Amino acid sequence: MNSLLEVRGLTKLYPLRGGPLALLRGERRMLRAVDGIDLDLAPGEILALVGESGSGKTTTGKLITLQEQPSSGALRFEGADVANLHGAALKAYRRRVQMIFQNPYEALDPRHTVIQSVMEPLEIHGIGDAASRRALAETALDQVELRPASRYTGRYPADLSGGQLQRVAIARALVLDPRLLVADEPVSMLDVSVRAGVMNVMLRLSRELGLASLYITHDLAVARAMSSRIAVMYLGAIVEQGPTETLIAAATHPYTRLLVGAVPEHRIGHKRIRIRLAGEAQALTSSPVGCRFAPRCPAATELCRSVPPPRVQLTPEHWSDCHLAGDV
Amino acid sequence: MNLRRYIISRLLQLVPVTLVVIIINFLLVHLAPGDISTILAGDTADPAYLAAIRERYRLDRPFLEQLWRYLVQVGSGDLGVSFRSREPVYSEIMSRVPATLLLVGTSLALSVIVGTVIGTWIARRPGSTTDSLVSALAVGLFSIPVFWLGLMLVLFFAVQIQLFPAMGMTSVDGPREGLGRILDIAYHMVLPVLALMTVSVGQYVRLARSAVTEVMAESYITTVRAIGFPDRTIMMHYALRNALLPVVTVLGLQLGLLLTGAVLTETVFSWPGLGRLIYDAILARDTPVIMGAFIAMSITVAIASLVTDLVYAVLDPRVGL
Amino acid sequence: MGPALLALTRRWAFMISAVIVMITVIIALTVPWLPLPDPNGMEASPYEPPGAAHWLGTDNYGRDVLARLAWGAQLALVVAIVSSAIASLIGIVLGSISGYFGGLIDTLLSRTIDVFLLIPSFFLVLLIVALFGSRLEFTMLAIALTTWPRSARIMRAQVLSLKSRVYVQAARAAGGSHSRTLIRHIVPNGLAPIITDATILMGLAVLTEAGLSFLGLGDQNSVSWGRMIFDGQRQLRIAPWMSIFPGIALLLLVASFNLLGDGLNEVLNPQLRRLTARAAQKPAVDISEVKPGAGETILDVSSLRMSYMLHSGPIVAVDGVSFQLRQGESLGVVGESGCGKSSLGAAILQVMAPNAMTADGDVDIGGKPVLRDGRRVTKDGRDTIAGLRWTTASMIFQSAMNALNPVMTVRAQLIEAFRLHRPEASKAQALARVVEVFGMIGIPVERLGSYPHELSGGMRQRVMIALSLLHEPKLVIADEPTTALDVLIQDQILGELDALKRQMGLSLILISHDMGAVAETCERVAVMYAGEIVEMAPTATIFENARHPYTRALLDALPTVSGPRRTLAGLPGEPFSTGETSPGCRFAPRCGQAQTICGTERPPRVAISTDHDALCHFPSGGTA
Repeated sequence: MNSLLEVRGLTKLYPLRGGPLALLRGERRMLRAVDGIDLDLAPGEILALVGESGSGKTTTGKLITLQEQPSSGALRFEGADVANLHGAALKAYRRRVQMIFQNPYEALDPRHTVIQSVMEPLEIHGIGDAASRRALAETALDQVELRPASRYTGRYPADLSGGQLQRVAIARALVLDPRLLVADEPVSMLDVSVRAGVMNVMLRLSRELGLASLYITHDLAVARAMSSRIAVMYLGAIVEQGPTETLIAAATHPYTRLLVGAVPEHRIGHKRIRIRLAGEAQALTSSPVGCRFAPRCPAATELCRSVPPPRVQLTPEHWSDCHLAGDV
Repeated sequence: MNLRRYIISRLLQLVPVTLVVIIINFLLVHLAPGDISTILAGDTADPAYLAAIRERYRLDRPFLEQLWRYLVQVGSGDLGVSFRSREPVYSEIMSRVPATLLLVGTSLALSVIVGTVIGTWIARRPGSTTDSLVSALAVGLFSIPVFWLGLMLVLFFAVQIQLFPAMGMTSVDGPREGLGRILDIAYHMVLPVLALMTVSVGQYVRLARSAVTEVMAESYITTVRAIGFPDRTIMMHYALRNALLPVVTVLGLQLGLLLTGAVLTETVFSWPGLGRLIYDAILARDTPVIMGAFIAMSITVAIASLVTDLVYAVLDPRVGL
Repeated sequence: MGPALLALTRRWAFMISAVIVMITVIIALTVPWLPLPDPNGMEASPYEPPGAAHWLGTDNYGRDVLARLAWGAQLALVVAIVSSAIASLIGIVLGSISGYFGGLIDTLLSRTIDVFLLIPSFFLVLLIVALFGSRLEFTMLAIALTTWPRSARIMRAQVLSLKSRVYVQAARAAGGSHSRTLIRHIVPNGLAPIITDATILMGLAVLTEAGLSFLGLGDQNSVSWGRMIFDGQRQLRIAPWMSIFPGIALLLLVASFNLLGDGLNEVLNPQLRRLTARAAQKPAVDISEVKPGAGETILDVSSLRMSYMLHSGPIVAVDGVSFQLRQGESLGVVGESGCGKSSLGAAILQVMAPNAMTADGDVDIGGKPVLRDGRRVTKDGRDTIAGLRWTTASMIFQSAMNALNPVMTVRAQLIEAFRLHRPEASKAQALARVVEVFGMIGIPVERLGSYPHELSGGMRQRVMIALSLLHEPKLVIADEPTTALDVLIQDQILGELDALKRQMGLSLILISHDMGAVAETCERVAVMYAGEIVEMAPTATIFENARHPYTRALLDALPTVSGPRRTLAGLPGEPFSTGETSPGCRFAPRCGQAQTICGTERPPRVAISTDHDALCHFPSGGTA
C-alpha cells in the first residue's frame, strides 16, 4: 500500500505520580497509554480509530500530530521519519497534518472573529499578505458550507451554534491545505440534527480534496458512517483492524463483537441478548502477561490469560489480535 | 496516603516558609541604608554594645557565613536582643502573646460563628433584597479601617456614654485574681473585640454566603430534594456542612489580616499585647523587635494554615488521605 | 421581588461605588486649583469645629481639615493605583509563566507563591518601611511586593484552565510558538479576574498605607488620611472631627473599590448571576378545592407549562405537554439539548431549579393531584408531592453530574434516604434494605463504605439506581442515566433498568438525547422539540412509521450499525432557540415540507391512530 502515514510500534508511557516518598524509594510506575500500535493510512482515506474512554485513542491522535512526543516507535509521513522533528521541520509538518478537537464551544478564541481565527494558521506560517489570507480563509469557510462566507467572517464565537463552530474549526484546519486531518470526536458534543451536516462536510472534503483523515471516536455507528476502515483500540493496543463493513458484520475479536452488540439502536424485527460483562477496564501500568482483554472476556481460556495473543490475519485487509480469532 | 504521612509532609512545608522569612529579614537588614550594627543596636548605642552586636552577628565575616549564623540563631529560638529593654526579643514576644491570643482568639471565634450564621441565613434566598443589602453591608464592614473604628468606639462608649473603659486590659485598682479578674479583663475586652470582630465578620458572611449558594446549586442537593428531605434539613445538614469546607480553608490565610487588625487595635486601646510591643518598637526604631515580630507572625500564620489544611483533610474525603 | 429590580439594587451598589471613585479621582486631579486653603497653612485658629468658614473644622495646628482631606485623596489614589498596578504586573508575568510552562518552573514558582501568600504582608511592609524609611515610594513598592502573590495565583489558575482550551491547543497544533500563543490567546482571555482583583488590591493598598501612617510610619511630607487620624487620635476628646472625617473618607473609598470589584466579578462571571436568579411561584391550592384525577394511570400530565426566569426575561422550557403513563409502562422522552425534556422530568416531581416555575398545567401521580393550573396542591398545608416523592415516584439523575453527596459514604446516604420515609426503621433494618437493593443491581456489598469519588462512573450510576429503588416506587423518572458512560457500561445499565422494570412492574420515564437508548428500553416514545411533544407513538412505530418531519429528519441523521449503510442527511438551519417566538410551527424554519400555513398558524395535534399522534399541519404518510 502506498502509505501517507505509517505508524509502527508507537508507544506512549506516562509516569504516574506517587508522591515525593514514592519517588525517594525509586518507585516509578508508568501508565501505558499507547502500547505499541501499528497503523497505515493511504492518501484520501478515512480510518476510524474506535475505543472507549481510557483506550488511548486521543493520545494516539496527539502523538500523530506531534503534540506529544512518542516514548518509542516509528512515525513515517510521506516516507520520512517524523517522530523526532523539531524547530522548522516540526512547523512544516504541522502544516501538513492538522487536528480537529472534540469541544466546539472552546474551539475558537472568544475574543477573535471567525475570520481572524481562520486566518491565524496562515499568519503563523507567514503565508501570503493580509488580502490573500483573507481570500484563502473565505474559501475555506465556503468549503465547510458556511455560505455566504461574508455572513460569518465578522461574527464572534458566542454568536455561533455548536455545529457552526465546529465548521469554522474545520475551515481553520483546511486553510493550510493539509494532507492529513486528525479529528478527535469532532461531533460527539453536537446534537444529532447538526451532527450529520458536519460529518457530511468532512466526507465531502475527503472526496474532493483527497484529504486523508484519522477519525477518532467512541461511537461505532459514527465510525461506520465516516470510514472505509476501522481500528478498534482497547487499553492502549489495537485489537482488531479491518474494512468497515467486514469489521461490523463479521468481527472476530470478542471485544469488537461486544462493542457492536452494545450499540443501542432500533433493530427491526430483532431482539438481541445482552451479554453480562465482568468488571471495567483497568488502566495498564505494566505489559499484560496474556491478552489484555482476557480479564473481562466472556470467551477467555487459560491460554488467553497466560500467552499474549498472536496477530491472526483473516484477509489481507483484516486482522485480529486474538487466540480465538481463527476459530470463528 | 495516611493521615500521619500527610501531617509529616505538610509539616515539612513549614520549613520553606520559615526559611524565606528569615532570609527576607536578613536581606532587608543588609540592603537597608546605614550601618548594620547601628540598625541592630540603635543610634544611641555605646561602643561596647555595638562591638557586642558585631560579634554576635559575626558582622566582620563573609556574607554567607553571616547568613548561616543568623539562620542557626533564629532556628534555635534566638531572635536577637531589644536595644530598648536589652531583653531577648524572644522572651519579650512570648510575654505579650497571651494578651494578643486572647484578643485575636475571641474575635476570630465570634466573627466566624456570627459571620457563618448570617452568611448562611442570607444564602437561603440569594438575590433577595435582604441578601443584597447584607452582602453590601458586609463589604462595608471589612472596608472600615479598624484603628478608626476603635477610636470611634472609644469616642462613643468611653467618652460620650462612659460605659466601657477606653484602654488597658485591667483596671488599676481592679481585683488581682479569681473571677473578679476575669470579669475585669472581659470588661476591658469588649471594645477592642467589638472593633476587631466588626471588621473581620464581613469576610465570613461573604464566604459562608457564596459557599452555601454554590453548594445549594449542586446536583446532589437536587437529589436530596427529590428524595423528599425538608428544606431545613437540607440547609443545615447538607448545605452548611459542605459549605463549611471553604470557610475552614481560608481561616488560616485570614489570620494574617486578623493579626494586622489586632496590632492596630491594640495600639488604639493600649492593649498590652504584641501590637503594642510592635508600636513601641516602631516609635523607638527598635529593629530587632520588629524583625522578631515579623518572624513570629509569619510562623503563626503558617502553622494556622497547616492546622486548617489538616482539619480540611479530615472533613473532606476527597483529599484522599 | 422581580429579577429586574433585583439587578437594579445590585447595580445601585456598583453605581454608587463608581460615582465615589470618580469623585475621588476628580478631586485628586483638580485639588491644586480647587478654592481650598493651603493644607499645610496654619492661618486659622486651632480646634475650630466644623462651621461656615471651615466646613469640616480645623486641626490642632489650625489647618483646614477639608483641604487636607482633598489632598489626602490624591495620595490615596496614587498609592492604590501604583501598588496594585505593580503587584498585578508581577502577578501576571510570573503567574502566566508558571501556569503555562509547568514542570520545574511551575513547581518553583508556585511554591514561592504559596510561601509568600502565607507571609502576613502588613508586617513585612512594616519592616521594610521601618528599615528603609518612611518614603512613599518605599511604601508603595513594599505593598506591591507583598501582594503580588494574590494576582500570581489567580493568573496561574487562569492559565492552567485556558491552556487546555481547544483554541489554544489548535494554535499550537497549527505551529504557533509558545510566546505567540501566550500573548495572543492566553493572557488576554485570562485577565478579567486579575482586573477584578486589582480593584480589591487597591482597597487593600489604601488601608495598608493608612495603617502605616496611623502607626507613625507614613511619609512625613505628604497629607495622608491615616496620618490625619494619627494626629486626631490625641485630640479625640477636644476635636473628634479631626479623626471622624478622614475615617469616613477611607471607609467610603475602600468600600467603593471592594464593591466595584464585586460588581465586576458578577458581570464577568455569569455563573454568579445564574446562582442568584429566582422565579416567583404561583400560590399553592388546597386539595379540597381541586378535582381529583381519573386515577387509573400512574402519571397524568396535562397542558404542563414551565418557564425559567432569566435576567433577560422569562423563557418557556416546557410548553403545553400532555401524556399519560399506565402502571408498568415505559416511556422514552427524546429530544436535543434545550428541548425541555429534563425540565419536564423536574417539573413532574417538582424539583426544578430556583429560577423555574410551573406556569400552567395539571399533574397527577398515582391518582393524587400534585399540580393544578400550575399551582402546587397542598393537603393540611403540606405539598402533596412531598408525600409521594421517593415512596411513589423517584428519580435517577445523571451520576456524572455530582448527584451524590461527595463527603458522605454511599451507605450513609442510602440509609438516611431510607429512614427519612421509614422513621420507625432501625439502622440495621435500613442497612438490610440497602444491601438488598445493592444486590438487585449488582453492586458488590464491599462498595457500601465508599465515597462517590472512589467509584467508577458505572458504579456511581448503579448507586443512583439503587437509591431510587429504596422505597419500591411505582414510577421512576430517569434523566439521562447513561450519558457520559462508555458504551459497554451504558448497555449494562440499560439492561438493569429493563430487567427491574419487568421484575418490579415499574413505570419508567427514560429521558435521553439518544434515540437508540430509548429504542431498546421503552415501549412508547415521545419526541420533543422546542418545549413541545411533536410526536408520540409506540417505539416501533416511531422508528418505522414516523409522521412528524422532525422525527423523520432525526432518524435520517442517525448513524446505525445495523441495517444497510446509507448516506446521512443533516437538518438545515440551527436548533430552535428558546428565546424565539413564532406564530406558526416551531419546526417550520428547518422543515423540508413547510408550506405557508406552517409559518403562520400553530399546527394541530393530529391522531394518526389510537396511540400515535403528531403535532403537524401535514403529518404525511412516511414509510421506514
